[in-house]
Amino acid sequence: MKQGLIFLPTLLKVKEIKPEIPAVATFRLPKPDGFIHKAGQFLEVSLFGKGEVPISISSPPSYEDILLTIRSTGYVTSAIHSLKEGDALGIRGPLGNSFPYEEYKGWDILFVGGGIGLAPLRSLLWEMLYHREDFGRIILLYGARTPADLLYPWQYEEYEKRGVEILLTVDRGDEKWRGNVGVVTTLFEKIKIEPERTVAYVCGPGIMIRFAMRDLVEKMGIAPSNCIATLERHMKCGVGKCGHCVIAEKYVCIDGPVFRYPEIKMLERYDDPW
Amino acid sequence: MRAQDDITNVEKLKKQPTICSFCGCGCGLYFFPEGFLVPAQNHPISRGKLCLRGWSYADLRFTPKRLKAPLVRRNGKLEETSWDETIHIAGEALKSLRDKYGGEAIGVLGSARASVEENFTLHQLARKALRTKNIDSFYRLGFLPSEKFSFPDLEGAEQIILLACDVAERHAQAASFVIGALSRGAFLYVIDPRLPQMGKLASIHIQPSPFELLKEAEDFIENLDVRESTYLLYSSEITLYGWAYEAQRVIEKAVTKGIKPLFLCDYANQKGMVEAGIHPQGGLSFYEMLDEARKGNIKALVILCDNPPERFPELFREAREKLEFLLVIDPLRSEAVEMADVAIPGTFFFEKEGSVINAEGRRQGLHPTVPPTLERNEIDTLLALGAELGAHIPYPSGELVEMERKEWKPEIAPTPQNVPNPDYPFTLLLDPSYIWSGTAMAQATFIFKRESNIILSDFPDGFVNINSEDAKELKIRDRAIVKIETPLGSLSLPAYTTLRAGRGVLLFPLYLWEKVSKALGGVEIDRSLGMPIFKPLPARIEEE
Amino acid sequence: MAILAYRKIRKENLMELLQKIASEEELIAPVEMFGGEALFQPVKDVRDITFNYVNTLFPPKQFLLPRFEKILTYKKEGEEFKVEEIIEAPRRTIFGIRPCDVEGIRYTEHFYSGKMFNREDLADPHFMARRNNLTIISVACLNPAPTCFCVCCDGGPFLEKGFDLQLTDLEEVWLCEVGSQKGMALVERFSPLFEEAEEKEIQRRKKLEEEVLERFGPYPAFSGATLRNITRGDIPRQVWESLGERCIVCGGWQFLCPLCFCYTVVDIGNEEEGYRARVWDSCHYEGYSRLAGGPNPRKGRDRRRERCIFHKFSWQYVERMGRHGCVGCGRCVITCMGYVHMPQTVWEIRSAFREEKYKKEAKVR
Repeated sequence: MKQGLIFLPTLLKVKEIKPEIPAVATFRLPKPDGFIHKAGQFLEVSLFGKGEVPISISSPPSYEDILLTIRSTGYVTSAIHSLKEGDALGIRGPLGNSFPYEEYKGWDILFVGGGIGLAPLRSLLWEMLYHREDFGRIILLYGARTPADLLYPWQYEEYEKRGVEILLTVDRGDEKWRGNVGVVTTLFEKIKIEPERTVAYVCGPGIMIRFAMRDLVEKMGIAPSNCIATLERHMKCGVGKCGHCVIAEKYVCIDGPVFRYPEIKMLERYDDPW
Repeated sequence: MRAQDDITNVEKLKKQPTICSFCGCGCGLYFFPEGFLVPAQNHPISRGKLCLRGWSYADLRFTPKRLKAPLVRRNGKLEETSWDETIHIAGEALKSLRDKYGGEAIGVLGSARASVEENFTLHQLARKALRTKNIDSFYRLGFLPSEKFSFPDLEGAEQIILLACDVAERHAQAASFVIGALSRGAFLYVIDPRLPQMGKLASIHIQPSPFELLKEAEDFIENLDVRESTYLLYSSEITLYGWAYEAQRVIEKAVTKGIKPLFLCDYANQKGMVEAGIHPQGGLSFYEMLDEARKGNIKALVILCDNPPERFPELFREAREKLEFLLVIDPLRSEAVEMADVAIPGTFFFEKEGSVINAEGRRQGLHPTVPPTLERNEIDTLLALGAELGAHIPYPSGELVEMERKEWKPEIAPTPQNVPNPDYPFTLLLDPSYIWSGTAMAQATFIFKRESNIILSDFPDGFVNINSEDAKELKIRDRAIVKIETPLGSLSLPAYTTLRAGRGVLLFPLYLWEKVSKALGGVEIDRSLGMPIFKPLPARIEEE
Repeated sequence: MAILAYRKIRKENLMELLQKIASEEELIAPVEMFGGEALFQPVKDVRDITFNYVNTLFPPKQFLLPRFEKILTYKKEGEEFKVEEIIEAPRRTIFGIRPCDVEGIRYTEHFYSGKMFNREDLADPHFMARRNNLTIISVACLNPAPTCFCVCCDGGPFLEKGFDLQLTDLEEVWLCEVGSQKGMALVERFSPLFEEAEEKEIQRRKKLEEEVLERFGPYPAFSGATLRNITRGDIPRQVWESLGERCIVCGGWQFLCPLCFCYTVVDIGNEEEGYRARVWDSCHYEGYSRLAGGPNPRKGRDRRRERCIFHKFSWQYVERMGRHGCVGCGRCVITCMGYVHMPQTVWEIRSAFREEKYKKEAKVR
């Protein structure tokens, strides 16, 4: 981003497009000069003639490229999906705050993800795996609609090898599925944690965050301020100008997208943050 | 001439108001070349207020959908051509078709998006140059003859009856007058099988069965203790509940009781268009034109500022294949333009000199408020076409048009529709509330496009509204595919549960009527009204 | 900032000053329209300026944040894209702007400069360039319209800061209060046209200010109680629902409010060439906070209205923005189609708390 010109995108050539699950693909972009991001931040991805969309970065800060996992849901994202390798994609950012990382060194980490919500968590998960010795247990609870909708299945083995305890669940199983069936909160009963030294990172659809956070606090006994979630809003500008992403007085693009549970609870009085 | 002076002096022009070209309310506004507008505060209708559509009207200034230059189809592609050549090509094509097949093989479609003068010129062109009686417009849909009235009178109303019209959705300015009257203590009665926004504000909301709406309305009016200023608001929707003559009887009844009826036109210049002569004059009506074209009997169509594919996508496509020549004059690069042989750019309301007539019957002037971007306007084009065809068409001066303007009353005759009436638990009804969804005008704006597309992007293939309570009883989930059975046929659609539909009523959006009527055995059109013969149908519903 | 200096200017000298400004840069002043309304317009000849107005229906925010604004252009040249950010910021002077609108500009500037978030690196380059090139000559109000309620909102009828020059009509002369260095420079540049103001004229202005306060209309004052209730979030749902039922979702309030500044972004053109523009948007529209794929956290009209009023009147925003979000210009009173404008909303919130049936409700929450 040039000094002061906050709306000018930097154009990058797509290096690789990796289809993940139906309607979801990961786009690999080279890092422009001086690009440093933190886990949890997002980019405004723009395709000229179509528009801009906020996409969270799924690659860890120490990784050499930028990885963006994009689901084709709307006008712009479906156009991004029709791109070919070598086509230009504009980015602005990194924008927004980030997941607290330094603060929780030495703690046990609990990731709770739902659907495409694994993408922003992946950035933090990998960063922790690169510095595995700094953290205690790492548990990943992940749920999707069907077994075919589980994101990054090819990475699970690698995660386990590096000492991540993975529990998967689906809403509707198929004949091959042997694992858990039910929403992601049903997995909470299957794990034993030490709540006073555990931090939970939650990302997924609003309704999932809402119930997962509630159960984490009420059933698992994790302190509310150690429950951290990223919220999703339609950020048009990403720099706190357009007003589309406001939840009560918080601008998700500047004050967020990462919030702690007490903050979200406070917003619930005035607005619907989920 | 004043117009000439004005065009050279843009600074002075800014001081003239213009009229919004969406619904029939006819709000006055000041339009500025920078792409913004201000509602006229001293205008009797807008009073400093505009609805979402009105505010979005400014977007047309910079719309990406603008047709900027004349286009002629060569080797299957539309190519930019000079004005003179385009008009010559169009004139030659029409002339040869007229001489070969006669005028009856040519259809002419006018528009409520064009001024009275333009429609008048088009009418003259059709009669004198093309020698055809096939003159009509898709914008005539649901037009009923009505008396003059004045919106500001509503402010002093004591009683207001909304007879099957969703003013909040379709005539926002009228809704504003109604709410204003309510805040001054007026009584509001809503007679509607749906639950429109105004239903919640009403003193009495009667939700009759759609079959009995007109009868209930008649009973209600009969028993109403009519005060000095009682108004009845109704719109084209009323003809969806029964035959036009039945509807007219209700209105006549109201008049004898001393109630003042207000007919809300759906489109900006609908009344002006009809009075300028755009209605079937012994020739074919708009639907018949397309139908005959599909059969190969109509060889050429001349369309002014209209986009039939937004209402009848498939019928128009089939008709287009058989047409030998299609001329479209439109400021927007609509679907019809993309299919045309020759397309000529037109102007928007804020770019032209002329007049429009709103629902009240108020004739309001249009003034060019932005510097002209085109070489010619529609009138120039139509006059030049007339000259190419060897006919003299008089210049449509204000006086001439005023003299020639005629009220028109369609002959309303009952057309029997024999529908078996089994005892089904539901009634399927067309809901015209989302009338602007998907239209070329809506697509040319930014904010309004987004708003009107919400329903289209959620339900690209249409939907059926079912009452939430009914859905609960029948265990129909929101957005589940349901099967609707009627005596005429059946169709499958996603269900959309709302409180908008009354108990026992299923609503289907009017903008997709081609789809519904096809599934139910083909469209029939009431010639006199241009409305589909689609009366409430008994229906059954179940989740698939 | 306190007033830097007091000057006075004769009526004919003011016209001369404005004509000189108009010849050098763009002068924006109220002009009478065909229907008798006054609207801010670029003026070449000062004889077009009207003084016969209370306030224009449209605030002059159009000149700082246009309704439709190109922000960047793109063009594909060979394999590469050429992208340019367009910043259009002509030198402008606004004459005749009312104190409420000046306060609105100050509020908007606080937001667009990024000061609200303490993130001045994220200042909006388009807005700030235009703001820096803008000189404000405001005119204090002596005759408020029946719809005005600025006196309850710290938005007038006289201001202490935010303007470059503030004029007060003292019948034979205009009193000029200089509010900024930019204003001081203007006064010094055209010093032959100005005279030193006398103490009695300054006193006269003070007296006028007191007199004006008596002339305000019937619209209710904003009590602290409303702000407190909104901040606590304990307003009964029925109040919002009742307001939502009458809302026609026109968005006019947001377009006319001098303190509203939301926009949406549109791309115009094809993949090869075109431009990106921003267009005013309103939080009352259904598509405003709708997410891709359909979920909408503020689907109901009542929800959207609650959000709008929260932005205007919660302590959370007062803390971040330095003031609450209403200057009492009264434009919403004129433009609201459902007659649920700001004073009405506040009045209904207050009366809800007086009514017994809601009291229980509030306690339960």
